Amino acid sequence: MGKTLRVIAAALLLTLVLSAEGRAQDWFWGVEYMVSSSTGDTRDFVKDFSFRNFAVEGRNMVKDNVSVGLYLGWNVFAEKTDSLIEFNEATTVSGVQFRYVNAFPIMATAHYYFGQRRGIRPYVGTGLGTYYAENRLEIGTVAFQDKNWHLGVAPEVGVVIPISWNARAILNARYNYGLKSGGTKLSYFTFGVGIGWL
Amino acid sequence: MSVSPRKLVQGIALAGAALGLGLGAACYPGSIEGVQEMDVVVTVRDTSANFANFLLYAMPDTVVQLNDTAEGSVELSHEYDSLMIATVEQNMAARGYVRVNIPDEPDDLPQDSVPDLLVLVTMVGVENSYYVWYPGWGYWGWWPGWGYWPGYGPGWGWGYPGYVGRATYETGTVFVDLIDPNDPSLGVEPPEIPVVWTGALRGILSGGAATTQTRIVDGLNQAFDQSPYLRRN
Repeated sequence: MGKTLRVIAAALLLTLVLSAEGRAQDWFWGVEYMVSSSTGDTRDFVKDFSFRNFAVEGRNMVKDNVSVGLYLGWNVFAEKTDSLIEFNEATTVSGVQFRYVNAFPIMATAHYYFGQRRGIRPYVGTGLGTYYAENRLEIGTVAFQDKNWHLGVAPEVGVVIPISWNARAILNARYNYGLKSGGTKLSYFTFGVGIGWL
Repeated sequence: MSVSPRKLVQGIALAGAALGLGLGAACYPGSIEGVQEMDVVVTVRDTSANFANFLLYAMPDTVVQLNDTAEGSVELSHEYDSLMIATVEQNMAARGYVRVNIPDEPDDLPQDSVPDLLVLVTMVGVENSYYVWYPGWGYWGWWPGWGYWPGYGPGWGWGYPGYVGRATYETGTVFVDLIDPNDPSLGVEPPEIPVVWTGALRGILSGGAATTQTRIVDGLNQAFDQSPYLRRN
């Protein structure tokens, strides 16, 4: 946990330093709604195409084609299943289960933009930071919950589309990957539509 | 009437945020559809046991309740005993095992009829409880300690808009244990019964007779079905 906090602090500090030269009006704030699909270890636990994803972010244009910022999100995966649980070679459990993953990415971000400042701007970027994730399994009258902090990255591609002099629409696709923590990795895609204003 | 682009954008943003928060809050799938969905089947095996080596087994016709005098236990009905025994016997037969009867005098048992396995069916009933707070009573409502005073409980009016209650539910668990009486660990100290397989069916005690019978049969069948290694042939 101490290591995770240091990484978060360093990422936030880096964001502030890089954005210090930016003017106040260069901050770009946005809200984003996403759909998501679990993959890898996360899909092994919860198979879900989720409509329950939300994020807010701020980007500071430190150059005409570069921004650094902050990203806070909430992604929910849930599944009702009756698949077998095999703890080890000896033990098997069956029954209707409700499985949940609540993941909260907390990221410093950097983006590079193509195109002109007032035009349609495709971009590539990445987030670097941490995910707080709660995995929960309910079966019968009992529940098991696992809470972990994952160091992680979130590479992203997208496009910013001007819709007024100070408003922008955002379309993006992001891969979220959290390093192994508590015996499991975190892995999912999000596809978002957002709106932001300068 | 005209709306400025800025107001329009902010309105769309707020609507999007509200939509996202709403979808996020209403975030979990479905719900339990009947008490049978609370049933859980657990099986555990001795990985060193070779179940193809067993053929004959003995099984008492009685289902014993293990904790019927323990505090918090629930007296379970024995009306399903024969159903449990029959279901276990059918599953054992389907997997190539043969039931033998044990005579009152063990010496009367022919040598070629000595069972390789003992199968015991037992059950446990437990009352589970937890404290719930029905909101609305205000400052003191958070304190679950109110539930300790006799006479308080669900439905008891406080003269205030809210109350604390003790909710209970009862669970029953059926165990099927396969014991290897020829295991060399039998008789060693400290005493340890050499169980080579256990199937446990745990569920909430609720529902009518037909539902209960179905849950028992389905649960016991599931215990055997999720143990593909448990077979003679």
